[in-house]
Amino acid sequence: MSRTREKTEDVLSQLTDESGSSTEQNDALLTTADYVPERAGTVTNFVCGAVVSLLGIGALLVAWDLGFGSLTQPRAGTWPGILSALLILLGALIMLQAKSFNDAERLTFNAAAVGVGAVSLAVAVQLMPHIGFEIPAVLLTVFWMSVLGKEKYLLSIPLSVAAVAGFYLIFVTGLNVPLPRLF
Amino acid sequence: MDFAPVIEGFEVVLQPQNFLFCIIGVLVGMVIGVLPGLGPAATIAILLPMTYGMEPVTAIIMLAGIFYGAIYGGTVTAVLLKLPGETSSAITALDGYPMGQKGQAGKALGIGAIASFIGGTIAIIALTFVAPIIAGWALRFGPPEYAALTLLGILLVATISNGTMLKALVAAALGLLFAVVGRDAFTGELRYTAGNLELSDGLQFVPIAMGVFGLAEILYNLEKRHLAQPKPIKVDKVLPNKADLKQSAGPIARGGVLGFFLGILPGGGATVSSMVSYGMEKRLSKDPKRFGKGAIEGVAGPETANNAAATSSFIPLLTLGIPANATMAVMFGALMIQGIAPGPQLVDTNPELFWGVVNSMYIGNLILIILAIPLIGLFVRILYVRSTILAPITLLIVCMGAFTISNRFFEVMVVIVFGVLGYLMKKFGFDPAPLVLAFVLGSLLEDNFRRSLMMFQGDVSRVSERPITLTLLSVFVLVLILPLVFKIVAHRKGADSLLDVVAGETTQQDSSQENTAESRSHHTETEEKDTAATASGEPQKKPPAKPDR
Amino acid sequence: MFWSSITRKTTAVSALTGLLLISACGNVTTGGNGNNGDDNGEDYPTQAIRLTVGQDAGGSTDLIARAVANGSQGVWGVPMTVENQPGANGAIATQEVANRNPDGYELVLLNASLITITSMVVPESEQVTLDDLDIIAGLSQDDYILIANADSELDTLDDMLNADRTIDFGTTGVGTAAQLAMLVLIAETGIDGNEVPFDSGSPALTAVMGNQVEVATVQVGEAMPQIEAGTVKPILLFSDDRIDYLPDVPTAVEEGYDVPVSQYRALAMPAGAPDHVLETLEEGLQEIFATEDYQQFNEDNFLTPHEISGEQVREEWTDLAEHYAQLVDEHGINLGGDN
Repeated sequence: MSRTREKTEDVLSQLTDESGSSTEQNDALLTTADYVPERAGTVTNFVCGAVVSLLGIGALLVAWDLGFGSLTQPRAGTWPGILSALLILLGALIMLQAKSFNDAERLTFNAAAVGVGAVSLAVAVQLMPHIGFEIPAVLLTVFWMSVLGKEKYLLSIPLSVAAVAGFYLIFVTGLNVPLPRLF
Repeated sequence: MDFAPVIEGFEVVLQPQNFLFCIIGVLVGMVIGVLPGLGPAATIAILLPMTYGMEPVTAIIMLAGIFYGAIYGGTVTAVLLKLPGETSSAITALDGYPMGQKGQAGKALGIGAIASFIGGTIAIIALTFVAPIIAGWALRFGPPEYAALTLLGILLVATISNGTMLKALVAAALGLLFAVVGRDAFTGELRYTAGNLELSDGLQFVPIAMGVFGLAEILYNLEKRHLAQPKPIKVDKVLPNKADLKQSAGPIARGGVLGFFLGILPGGGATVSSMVSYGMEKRLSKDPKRFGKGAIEGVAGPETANNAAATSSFIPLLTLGIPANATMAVMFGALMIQGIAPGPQLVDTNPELFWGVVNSMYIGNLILIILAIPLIGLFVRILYVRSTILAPITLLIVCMGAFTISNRFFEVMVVIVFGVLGYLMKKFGFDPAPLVLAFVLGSLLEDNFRRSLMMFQGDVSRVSERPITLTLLSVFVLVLILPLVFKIVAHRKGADSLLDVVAGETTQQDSSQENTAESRSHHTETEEKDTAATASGEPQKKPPAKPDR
Repeated sequence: MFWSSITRKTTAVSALTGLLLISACGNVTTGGNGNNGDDNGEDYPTQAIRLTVGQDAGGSTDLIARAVANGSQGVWGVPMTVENQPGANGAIATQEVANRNPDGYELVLLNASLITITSMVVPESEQVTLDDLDIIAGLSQDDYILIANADSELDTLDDMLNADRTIDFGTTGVGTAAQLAMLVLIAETGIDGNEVPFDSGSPALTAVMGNQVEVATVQVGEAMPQIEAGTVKPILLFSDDRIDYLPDVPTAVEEGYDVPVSQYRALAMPAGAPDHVLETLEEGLQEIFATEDYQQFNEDNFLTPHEISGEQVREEWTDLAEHYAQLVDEHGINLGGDN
């Protein structure tokens, strides 16, 4: 599998319909050069550094509240204080050298799927204690397979039901794990 | 020494029902240990009730079998799904998972099984002959020694990453900070819990590793869902060949010895062993850049160390009556249920039990490799599954596995939070591996450092009374200084600062690492497209990516 | 391909575990919203009882729960499954069970220290009270012992008083009974001690064995194998009276120090259970206490039976909590924590 092809597909698919055959056809037209925009630029790396520093500042405030103590007479805040300072410093260095990184990826509209995926998972898990794990689990897998993954419902629904039934047998019947459940 | 009890021990193990339960134990342990979240400790705890009605020897033999099986089960998910079930398989995931993505899952699992077998065997042989002698060594490790050992571990964590040094350090610092969460062991103050009672005991390793590794991988691939990637990975069912074995021989031998000695230490030695082995192999390698991208040594060494350590962690339990880790604590409980209090006198008062357990390890280990090799072909089939289907099902396993950790959904939410964090880190070029590994070492380091200071009553110079600590600290300094010196000398020309040197050297590797991840991206095509793509025939004919790019 | 792998795995797992767990799970546990509610009337129990333990599997609390659960089938005719839900010394598990249905199928094993000591070190929001629970019965008493390294010159409490030097002592974690006992003793005797805190009993015991610290207070059950092997020396017990397992070891009380600290455990359920359920449980528990297996278990684990009624448990624990608070206050001891 060539790196080129996948990455060009990525670019292409933002423009075209998500059709496998079309990307196959266009494969030859694109070169690695098209891949470059996917890498994030200085701004993204600068923001990364800033976030790290901010995290450090936040953690430092908590550590300060716990009491810094000293190296020979440490208190609850000593060690987190050191780590926070380290984070602030590292964040600052990343900000300063933001230009030199090329390992970050640009956050594109595609990331929305990740958000949807994570939220759907969290929602399903939140529902489980209330209505049992079976229904949220089936809905979650169907959603991931067919909405996020474009599998046919004819496939995803029976597969999800079967998978959940299988896990029911393993975890509930077999291992006696006290999962909240409907049945 | 007197060998009569040793021979009798074999007779005990080879009694049909003991032998049978040993086999059942390994098999059940392996099958259940494959479920992520169910590490050895959890698997044993869940299966504990099965042993109530058994004879003590039979019970403990079966539990030892479960233990072996569960450890190997953790390796399987680490390689196939990047879902480590415990600390040591987190290391296996670093190179095992990329190997799997290159179609070499069979190779990775094969070498894992062989390494486990050899590591286990080295440790059992050593255990048979020197257990009582060596056990006392464990007691000489006090807080200052653990602090120094952990320091060394942290240093190795920093070298484990392939990303840019700055970003790896951020990940490590975050990991250390996450280890702080919870009640301070010294003052009792709650730190970074935001008033949440569920956090008062701190975060746990398994949900973090499952999130940052496994779930993050799934989420990351979700972003590529629109890609019409026409084929699942070509899975090589090939087991390790002669060249692989030759390549792994050194790491296996070193890992075995290292794991055996570190495993004896009750305060976290086994935890560090696979990390130390990985760091050591990467340092010794002629081409360290291969690590993290599917280097077979990166699986062989740590897997051996891990299993040797797991075996030798029985030594403090059986000879001193000290449970060395969570798994051994459950074993301890299992013995207590049988009315046997493990202690220094166990070998005298219950020799048949002591030697029965030790010798069952030989058998269990052998059974493990005999069962594991044929099952590899079955396990790797998981990778045939299209990821649009595999990912959601993996999600379910993650949810349920995380739930079993403490029978609460809280841990599942932790997995999700860390999954998102891991995704963001991956996205922005922060290798998450140092976070996970630093997390393991974080509380060990802080607690033992503070404990040492309390022992010394604040007088750091009293460290001079502790030769082991001094030795470990000098190793630390050597490992820290030497490569830096080499690097500065080698890169003198054209480099502005040391950080530039490191950054410049690593970014290239990093992008190729991304590629490994992408090669795994989702296949979102419907069946028609699948067929169409298959018809084009192109991807299937392509050889799996080469180990070296 | 997917099917073959999944089904094969599933079949393998369920067949194996089903086969093996037949005795352990003749009946399955019920979930939070499961079919618990439809128990109408006098038939109790008709399904498996769940016993939640707020400590890790393998610890002494867990073992006691499992010993009780072992007797369930014989007494009530239904299995009792032990579920570990570790966290915050059992606070999370106890609060969760307290909010469940008081139908007799949800029990919890209580540690006295959660009520009597932990409450002194945690913020009010985390404190667990007995108000939301019906206590079925007290179970046993787990004692604490001060031990010294085998090579130490300290053999008795007097040796410690006369040592005329700083003695390094290990403690077993914030808010534990062993820590309280140790700190109160040091405060009352005025011994020059240097505290080195460990996470729990086992590392503290290991530290004494390795002479990292000279003395520590740990559970009798933990220390016993080491005492028998001579790797550590018993110095002082913190129980009210001497115990059968170590008849020659004096207690702090008889040495003239007011440090009566033991761990007690009791079986409880959410408050508001029907009388017949409570009675069935109380009576059944007495039957379990009488079994040879259970008595042997206590002996093997160096536990002293303290099989008192739920009311007595409530009284004793309330008194203990007051007593401990008073001791801590009197000696200005800082157990740690936010309060």
